[in-house]
Amino acid sequence: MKGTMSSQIERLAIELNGEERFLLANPLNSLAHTLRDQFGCRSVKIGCEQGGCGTCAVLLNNRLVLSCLVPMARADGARVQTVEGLSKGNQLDPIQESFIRCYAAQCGFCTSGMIMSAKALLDSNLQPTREDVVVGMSGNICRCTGYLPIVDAVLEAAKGRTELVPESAEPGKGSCALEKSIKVLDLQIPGSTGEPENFKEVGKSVPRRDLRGHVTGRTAFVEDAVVPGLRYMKIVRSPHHHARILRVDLSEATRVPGLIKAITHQDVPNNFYTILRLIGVEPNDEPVLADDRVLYRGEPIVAIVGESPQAAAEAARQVKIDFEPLEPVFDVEEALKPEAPRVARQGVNHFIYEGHHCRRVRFGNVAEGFAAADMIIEQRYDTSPIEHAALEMTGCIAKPEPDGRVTVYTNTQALFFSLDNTALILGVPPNRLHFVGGTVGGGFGGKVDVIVEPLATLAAILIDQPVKYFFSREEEMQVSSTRAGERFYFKDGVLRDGRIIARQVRHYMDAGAYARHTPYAATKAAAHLPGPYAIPNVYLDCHCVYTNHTPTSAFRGFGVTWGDFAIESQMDLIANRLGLDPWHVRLSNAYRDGDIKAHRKRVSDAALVEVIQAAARIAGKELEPAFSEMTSFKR
Amino acid sequence: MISALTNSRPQNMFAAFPSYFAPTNSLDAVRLLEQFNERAVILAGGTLTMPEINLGSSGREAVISLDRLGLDQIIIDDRTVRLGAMVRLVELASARALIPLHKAVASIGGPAIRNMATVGGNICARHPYGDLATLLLALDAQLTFSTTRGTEVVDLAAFYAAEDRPRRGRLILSVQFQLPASQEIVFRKLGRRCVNTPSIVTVAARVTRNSAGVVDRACVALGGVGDNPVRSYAAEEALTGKNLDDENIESAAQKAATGIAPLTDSYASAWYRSRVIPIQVRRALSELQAVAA
Repeated sequence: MKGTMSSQIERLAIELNGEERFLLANPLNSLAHTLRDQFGCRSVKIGCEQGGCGTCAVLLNNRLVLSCLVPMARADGARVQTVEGLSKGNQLDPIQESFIRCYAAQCGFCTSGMIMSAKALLDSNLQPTREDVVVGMSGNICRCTGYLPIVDAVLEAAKGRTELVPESAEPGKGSCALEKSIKVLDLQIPGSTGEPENFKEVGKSVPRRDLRGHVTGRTAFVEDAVVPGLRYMKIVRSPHHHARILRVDLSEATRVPGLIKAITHQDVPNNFYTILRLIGVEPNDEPVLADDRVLYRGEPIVAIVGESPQAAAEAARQVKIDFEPLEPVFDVEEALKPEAPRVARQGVNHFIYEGHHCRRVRFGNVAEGFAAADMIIEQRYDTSPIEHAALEMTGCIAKPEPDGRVTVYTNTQALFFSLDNTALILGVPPNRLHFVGGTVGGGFGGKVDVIVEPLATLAAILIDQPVKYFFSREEEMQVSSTRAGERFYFKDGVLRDGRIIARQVRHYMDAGAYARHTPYAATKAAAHLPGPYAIPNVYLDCHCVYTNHTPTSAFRGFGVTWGDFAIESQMDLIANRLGLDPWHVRLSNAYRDGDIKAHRKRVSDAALVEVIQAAARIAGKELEPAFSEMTSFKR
Repeated sequence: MISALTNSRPQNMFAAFPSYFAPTNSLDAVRLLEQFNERAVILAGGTLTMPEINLGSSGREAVISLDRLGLDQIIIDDRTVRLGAMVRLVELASARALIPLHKAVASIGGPAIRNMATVGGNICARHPYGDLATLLLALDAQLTFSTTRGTEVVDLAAFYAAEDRPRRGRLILSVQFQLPASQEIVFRKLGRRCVNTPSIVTVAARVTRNSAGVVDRACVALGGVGDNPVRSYAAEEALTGKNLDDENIESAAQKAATGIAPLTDSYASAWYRSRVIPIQVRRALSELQAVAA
């Protein structure tokens, strides 16, 4: 048995991008973290730490691996290649050039991993088909581009290839592909080439300024900030959907070596959070750290700061909390029943809109409209919540400065919202905080809520050391807010020719446990629900309902996207029931200039008619003359 | 040179990482497994164990690496195949003799995962992993274990059927099976995407027929429906002694989910799985029928 147990720290060697490097490392530290932290290979991105996303892909002995899954014990003596080793000074690898030419990156967070996967594919396949590329890149997720430009870029890069690289080549042999790199692309970036900007760019494709940074791994994301002496935050979360907190016992946790501070609700100066209070929207219903109850699974209760992520995680595991589980409610209509478990602190499970139980729109007289209709068409539509799943996880680094200010590096999409909210929660003047934003590794609305900054900043002030708080992938998927799930009950009164003369919609939006941005989203839904159609009689009740789901919030077009699904499904249903052409039904109802929408907005610059006509032309659809000759202008 | 530490995580923290062991013989490995019991975790390809270590919240005390046990051999003797537990999936994909396994291997993860993940890992992994294991179950594979009392051979079906698969003191060394003829086997995986997708329902079947076309042996395995792959004995019974015609295929498909309670996860509901099991089994068996015809 003796001799099999390794010491905690081993002296290891790797050949990194052609250079021999020595290091001291725990054999179980991941290659990804080692490359980033010890060798400054910031092209290696941490997107999930569980092999699911591909952002940390590198070549290990010429074979594609996910470096977060490689323990250093296994990398010892191996040849490692990262994006940093692809370009030689100004001379980019053809794959990098091709990614620039094809606009194959947007936020840039997945790009390094994509390029390494492309290299592994092209090193073993000189003439890949489109399908080969799709399969070869299938371990890399991109949430921005939709993949097409990436596949195009790999196919284009394949054209310049002439040699294969054998797998598991001995270290030190060198990669032949690198030597074949073609001449650097003339980027013509205004301001960077020495040429004066002439402002004559309309109608031309211009290279994106940030692509060169993305393909070389030099774009700095928040996690790439170098902050010496960093400490790490982990959150103890509720395992229950709804429970009373009876007791929080930190005694075991405080004995964990490496624990620096355990923070509870008592440490938070103003323990409530609602991003909308900056614009006067109340109630302040969401605690930063739970006090006497939890309303959703994953709600934060204790924030742990440790000397290492592992120590913080271990201490978090040792926090003992006694709960009294309460009955949860998940369905929006169940939650509104008088006997439903009470979720919201203000007493009713819905947001109150100026004294009303929902956001209401009343236009014309729907009862008269239904009476005059040839047919009533009713349908229910349900949609699910969706997680943004940006590849870069939500997070920030809060760094106390010697002058008493705190610098916060954050990937928020709403920098000053975050700063002001953090100042309110901490009870400090905003000028004590300096928020530094930067390239966001995918947001889509998921980085709008102010969740990480207040706690990281508070911890940094309390311990006077820099603190990093990043979600794990699991937290990102399960705890960060989602797009709200919605329910619609449509009732339309229609005439035989397809015109809608009355629409009544009962709509429920699931806010989850707390308000966040969903009261605003329900208002947007109310403005949007008639759709781009001129309907003379409209009656809308849009409810923002609290349940024991994860809070929901901003997400690309939130409040209207699911509405469009319901509206357009309803248009098809109407056409189907009446035996009419769905194109004609839409054009019969299309709003035009001068129409008044249900929420009293006069339509101007309408283009729906023209867009449908253009779509019909592309689709080869012949419209009846009455419709093909329509315009949005009313004579 | 020793590089400068920048954001480096402290390397010598107690409680930072579990102890790392890389035993050089299997007896040492099983002794360690016995000693640490559930406080130990095996490190094979790393695709499942490293996430746990990265997150640092597992409470494990020991990580036992199989790197130095020499379990990465593929031995093909006529039609008998023995795969070492540490054989990477990519090695199966590049072995021409193992073509009957290729479709199952290609259905797993992306290229990087196949470069890392191992045969033993796929057998031990719980849902949503285990597509190769589903095929191995249909091939009547057997596992060879190392224990402190010597080696043990166990049918894969028995391994999965055991209520609790004890970890203590038992280590998979290899899996062995008879290589089927290509026209005897079928593998179908239904997922949410075309590639790199977890299984909603995986069907693997091996059906042998006599010269008259009558099924003399049928082995039907389902993956993606429970914690582990399961045999559909009802479908096997419905096929045995029958011709592989449309009627018998439909009958076997309808019975396939008998006694199987599919699970609900993020990818599909139990209801959905129950609905697609018969469809996937019918399509799988129809593929075999088409090959024969």
